[in-house]
Formats: sequence, C-alpha cells, structure tokens
Amino acid sequence: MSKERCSITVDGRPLAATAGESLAVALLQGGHLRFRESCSGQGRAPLCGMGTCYECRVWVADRWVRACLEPVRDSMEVRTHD
Amino acid sequence: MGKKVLVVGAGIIGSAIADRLQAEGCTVTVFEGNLPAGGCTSTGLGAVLTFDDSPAQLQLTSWSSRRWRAEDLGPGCERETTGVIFMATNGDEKRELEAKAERFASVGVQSERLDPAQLARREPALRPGLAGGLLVAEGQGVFQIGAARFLLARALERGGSLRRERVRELVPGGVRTDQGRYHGDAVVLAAGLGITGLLPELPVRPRRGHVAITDRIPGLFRHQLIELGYLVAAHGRSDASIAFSCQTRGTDQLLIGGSREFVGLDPDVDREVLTRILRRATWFLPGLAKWPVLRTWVGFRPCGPANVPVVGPWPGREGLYVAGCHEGIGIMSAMGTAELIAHHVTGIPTVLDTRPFLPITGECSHV
Amino acid sequence: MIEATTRSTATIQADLAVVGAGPAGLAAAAAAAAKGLKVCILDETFRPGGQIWRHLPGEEPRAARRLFAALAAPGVQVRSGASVFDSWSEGGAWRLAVSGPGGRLLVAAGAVVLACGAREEFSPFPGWTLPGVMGAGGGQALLKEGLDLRGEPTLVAGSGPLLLQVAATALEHGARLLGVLEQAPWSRLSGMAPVLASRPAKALQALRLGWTLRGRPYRPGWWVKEARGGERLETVVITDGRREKAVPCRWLFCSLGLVPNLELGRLLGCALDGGVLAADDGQCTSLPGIYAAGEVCGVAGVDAALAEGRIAGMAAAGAWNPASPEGRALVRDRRRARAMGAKLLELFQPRKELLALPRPDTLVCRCEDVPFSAVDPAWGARETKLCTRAGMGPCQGRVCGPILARHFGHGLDTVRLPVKCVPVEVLVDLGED
Repeated sequence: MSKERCSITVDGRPLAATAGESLAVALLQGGHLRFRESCSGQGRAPLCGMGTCYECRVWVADRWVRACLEPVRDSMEVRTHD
Repeated sequence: MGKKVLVVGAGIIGSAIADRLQAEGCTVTVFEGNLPAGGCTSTGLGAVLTFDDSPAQLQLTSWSSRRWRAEDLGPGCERETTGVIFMATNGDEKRELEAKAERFASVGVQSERLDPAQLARREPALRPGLAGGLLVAEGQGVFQIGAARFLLARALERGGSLRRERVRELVPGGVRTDQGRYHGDAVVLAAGLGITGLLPELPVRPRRGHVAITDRIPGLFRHQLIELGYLVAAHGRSDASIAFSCQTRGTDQLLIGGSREFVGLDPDVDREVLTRILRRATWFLPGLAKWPVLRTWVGFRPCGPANVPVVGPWPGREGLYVAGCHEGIGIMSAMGTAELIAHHVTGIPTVLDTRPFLPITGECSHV
Repeated sequence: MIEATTRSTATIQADLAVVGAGPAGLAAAAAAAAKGLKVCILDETFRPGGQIWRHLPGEEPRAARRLFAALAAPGVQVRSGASVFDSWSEGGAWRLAVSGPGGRLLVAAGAVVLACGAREEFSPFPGWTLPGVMGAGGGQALLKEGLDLRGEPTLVAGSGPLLLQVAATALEHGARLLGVLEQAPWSRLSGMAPVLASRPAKALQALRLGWTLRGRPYRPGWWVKEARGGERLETVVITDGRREKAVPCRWLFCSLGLVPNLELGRLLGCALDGGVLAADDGQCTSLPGIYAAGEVCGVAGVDAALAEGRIAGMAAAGAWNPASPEGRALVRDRRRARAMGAKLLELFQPRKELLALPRPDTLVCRCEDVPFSAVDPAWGARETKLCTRAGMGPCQGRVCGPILARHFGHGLDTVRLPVKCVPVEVLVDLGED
C-alpha cells in the first residue's frame, strides 16, 4: 500500500491526502462531513463503510463512486453534493 | 336514482371509473384481489399525453388528458407538466411529425415544430444531428400509482367501498368472490389482464415492456422524450420491438423504456432486450451512459383483439360493462374511459364517440 | 442461444469464480487452487480480507496471512474494486457481470462460490442520519483505513461481540472512548460464560479485549435513544429504559447485528432455507455448480466462514470427501462454529424497546427520505414499495429492507438485475458507437 502524500480537489478546493487510502477517510479527515445531500436536503456522511448503503457516494470525474470503496489517486477531482 | 355498481379491479381504470360513478350519484363497490394499483398500473411510466395512432385513440386520449389536467390532484400524484418531444431521426419521420402536428391540431392540441437547432436548445442532452422534433407543451406525467390510489380514495370518501376480495366469477347481476356473492345494477369489468379469466370471450394478451430507472439526475432532462421509429429486431433472437422513450419522475429519476413483445407472462428482465433499449437510449442521450441504473423491471400491457380499448356494455349480458385492453395508453385514457362508462351506465350524455370502443361492433370487433 | 455481445466487454474464463475476498472466499479460492483449478476472485473492496481482516500488512492473524499468501499462487486471479451486479447460466457455464475499475467485465466459470458476506443491520432512532453516526462495522472499516478520531468523544453501542472489537480499534485510533453500550441485559450476557468456557481461544480474545478496554464503561442493558446535532452529531441520549442521560459525543458507532448479503444468490434463483442460502453438506446450493460459504449461509463468524469456504473450494474441485480425516475435521469445525453463531444470535437478540425508538419523522429509508409515518403498518413489502419509495434508491433496500422486516414484518422483495447500481455503460454492452 502506497503511503505517498498527494493532492486531490474536492468541489474545486485542494485537499491533501494519502495515495491508496480510502477516499471516505480522506474526506472525513479533511473535515468534509457532507458527502451528499439527501432528497430532502439533509447532509449525509458514510454509514456502513463497506459499500452497501451508498450514503458516501460522490462523483470522481465522470464516475459515480462509493467513497468508502475508492482508493485515493493523485489529482482526483471529487464532487460532493448531488 | 343512483345505481349500485360493482367495479372489478382497482387499477387506474377501475379507480377512475369508481371515482366518476360515485361522483355521478352511483354507489360503487370496488373489488381488488391483489393490491390496488398493483397490477398493470404499477409498472407503467405514467405519461398523460395525446396519442394519435388512430382517430379513436386521438379522440379518447386528448379528451382524457384535458380532463386529467383539470383535476385537482393531490401531492401523492406528483403531476408534472414537462411537455413531450416526439423526435425524428430522418426525413420520413420528420414528415410523420408534420402529420402528427395536424392530427393534434384537429383536436385542439397545440404543438410546436422544432428544427434541429431548436431541438438542441430545448433539450441540450440530446445527440446533435437529429432531423427535428415536435414539442407538445401540455404533456404531463404523473406517478400513476399515486394517482390511482388518489382516485380510489376519493371514490371511497364519496361513499364508495373497497373489498379486498378476488372476483372468481361473473354471475347474473353480480359477482362471486372467495367470500360470497354480491349483486348490483351494473358490473364494470376493469380487471386488466384478469378480464379474460372472467370473460373468456374477450382475449386479453399481455404485451411485455421493459423499464430501467436511474438515480436522480437533477435538471439534466426537461421533457418527456419519445422517438417516432419503432425498430424491429434485425439480429436478435426475440421479436421484441424497441422504441426509446423516457420520462423523469418528480424525483428527478429517469425512467427509460421500452419494448413490446408477446412472451406470455415471463417476469424476468431479458438481457438482450434491455441491452437494445439502453443502446437506443444512449444513442439519443449520449451522457446517459455514465448514469447509474438502480433497477430494471418488466411490465405487461393488456392488449385486446384490436388497437383500441374495449369500453362499453357487453352484448348479451345484461348489466355487464367492460373497460379494458388499454395496451400502453391506460393512464392517459383513464379519465376518458371513466367518461364513457359513466355515459353507458348512467345515461349521462358525452361528447365522445362511443362507437369505436364498443365490444363486438366497434373497431375492436373480434367476431 | 444469445449471440455474443462482448465486442467491447472483456471476458475472463475461469474454472471457479469466487464472489467475495473475505475469509470464506479466500478459503474457497485457496482450496480450489491447491487442486489445480483456475480461480478468479471478485471483491468489491480495494483490498482482500473482507470486513474482518482489514489489517495492515504484518498485523493480520495467522489464518489470514496464510490465505493471503495463497492468493499469489499461479492460477489465482484477484479482481479488487469489482462489483458483481448480474449473473446467469449460459451454455452450461455460469456468467457473472462485473463492474470493475476498467468498466464492464464478464467472468465465465464452471462453478461459483458465493462468499458475499454480511452487512450491518441498522435500527433507527431519531437523528440516526446525522453525519458522525455510523455502523460499528462501518466505523471499524474506516478506522482501519486510517481515520483518526483526534480525541473526540466517541461512543460504541448496539449489540454483539463486534462492539468490543470496534471499541478497541477506536482507542487505537485516537478516540476518547466514552464507553460501550450493549443492549442485551446482563442476565442474557451471562449465557456467554459457558460459550467462552468451551472455546479457550475465544475466551483469551475476550480477555485481551477486556484489558484493552480497561477503565472504559461497558454497560449491558443500555442503548441509544436519540442522536442530536446540527450539521453533525453533537449529543447522544442514552437510556436503560428507566434513566436517561444526554452525553456530548461526536462519533457514534452502532450496530444491531449482521444481515447476510443474499442478493446475488437470490438473483440466480438459489433456494433459501430459514432466510439464508440453503447449502448441502458440500456447501452446494440448490443450483448445480453454485456453492455458498460463510455468512450467506447464516451469520456465524469467521470460523464458520473458513471451514465452509474450504469445503466449498474442495467441492468445486470435485475433491470434497467428508469421510477423510480433513473432511471430518472440517465438518466438526463447521458444526461447532455454526452452533456458536446460533448461540450468539440468540444472546444478542434485539430488545423490543428498540422497535419503539423511531418517531413518525424518523427515516426508515435513507435513500428516498421516507419517514416511518409514511408506512402503513397494515401494508406488506409489495404495497409499501407501491405507496412509498422505500427501497427504490441506490442501496436497493439493503438498509431499509431489514428495518421494514423488523418493524413491520415485511418479507423479502423480488430481486432484479442489477443487484448493484452500475452505470448504463456497464449494465449492458453498449457496443461500438
């Protein structure tokens, strides 16, 4: 597992992360607690941590992914909120 | 004096009929052996449009859509006036759109011709290079399950009743269920695919369709989209005919269809048919390729002997009326069907021409 | 016969496809590979090990190390980040459609082992959707992936031995652990004593955990009543049914138990028995060539998974012999592990007070924001789906399904493809443009 530090962008803003770590952890560690907005406007963050609840879903470039199953890669462009 | 009417089936048709008859002073009992709105109604897309495949259909759906629009529907019906764009991919289809516009105009439905540039502006997600489109701004969508249950609830509020019993047999002057016999002045058979089991003389065949639903896509698509062409399989093993149509639910989820095939009641999604539908869908909407699909399902359209719904008194059986065989236009025709049945059962006059829909003697003649 | 539509889709041929790289899947793969089978393991997470073996390299238990080493065997292929979303029988073999890092992928295999594991079961309470409220297993996963709790007040609650493991992990990752709340009462927990007495290894494990957690309260008979906060969790209200306390808290890891991931098995048409995949003594399901091992056969923990995985792998290779010394040992291990699993399920049964926690506006379906008030208790599963949107979101009912089952007695809903949400271009082969 790579331990290199790298930089990703989240909603256009830079965030330092570790290559290969869980994107969900990177976002939480970076203070992002609102991964998406529910259909009635509630902020949501990871719940199950294992890819079954889809609460942590975000867009990485044009891919719709579960952050808890996604390894961080350098220069990843992440969009939270639907 | 209000008649006592038994309505068999609590789908969109039965519910609309019950609601209308109750409003006209009848006392209605609705029988549903399964779940209200749980049959053919449950798997539809909920389009409320004017369709012009035949003069009878044109008349029925335009009247019915207008009536839908005038209804004060509850929030559970999720009615949206999205408008619908019929799309042409070549010159022939473009000419067909012209004819369509004229037919719509003949029943007072306004439409706007869109050249390729205008089409692209109205619906930026569409692939460039289409031949043109026809926009009908009044086109609506509803959550048809919510709408059926709304109409049924209103019928019950007005004094009707619902019996969760399965009708096993039509008897003189009434019906027999698992629980007992019930009698009335009239029986309206609105049981969708269940009609033939009770009335073998009217064969209703299930015509299967496929639907895929995506996750929410806020603001990406604006109108219902329907392609004109009906493609018949060239290389596939099935003889499913595929035509692309899509519609957003109030939730911004996109419903994508569709197919038409006669394969009995096979409830399993056919992967090859689904593939062809989604290939067609992404041909029209290239961006759709990246969107997550949450679920796929099949639904069955009740198909009668001819191309029009069968609505009217059944000859030779005093007090028996049929309201079925709506194929793919059930939701949009529900109000018009209720109007026809109200006319037949209570005598109230109607502007609709009842003849095309009459059993035996209408366009649906199967004798 | 369907024409091949794989112009744009890569296809992997294998003797055995294993779905899931947790203990059951790894055991099956290792056993089959040792008999010369070409094995393809498909796992959703980006690293093998499942939920229980999320250790950093070098820290994993011996059984895990041995199986991880087996992954390096020739003839074993591991596809991580791979979600199986569809499966069917074609030409006498099994096909699995997979969503992977490269897009759509097909696997064709003569046999399949379903080792899909289990997921957390959630029991709603007011405020359970607040950021900061997570499953215990979910918290464990993120902690092992490096989440640093930075001294923030953390509570672990719910039911089962997992809570103690999560609490220990939380401590290792910087939590200010407020305590562990176990909803089962002391009287029921004393039933653990004979279980532990008969399993020295487990007893030792429990003692080690107890030592790690020394000084932190472990409270049987207490549970979470409500979570409060604005943008995130700030306070947890806990209760024992009589007393109530509001506790400042930033992380709540709560779990009621586990639910087996049956979706793929049910899509294939495997028969169920007692609500789990039915499997014979050779771990074969009702479908020839489809085997099942571990939690999908009933939640019973790692020992059952290891035994059943090994049996399934050998059976898939045609090498399963229950009368051999190894066979007899595996059968015995399986029986004991399953008995222990059943006993644990019984001890940690959720109490009825938990069912009374939701308020009318508490959500039952988080994907579609459907509150409890929208569900008529008279409805069954199908009617609920017709009248609300519960289950019509991306989780496809995985979170709300078990909640509806517990609170309203709903049965299982029909499973349709795809059993995982995938983009259109992965769901079907879009071909060349």
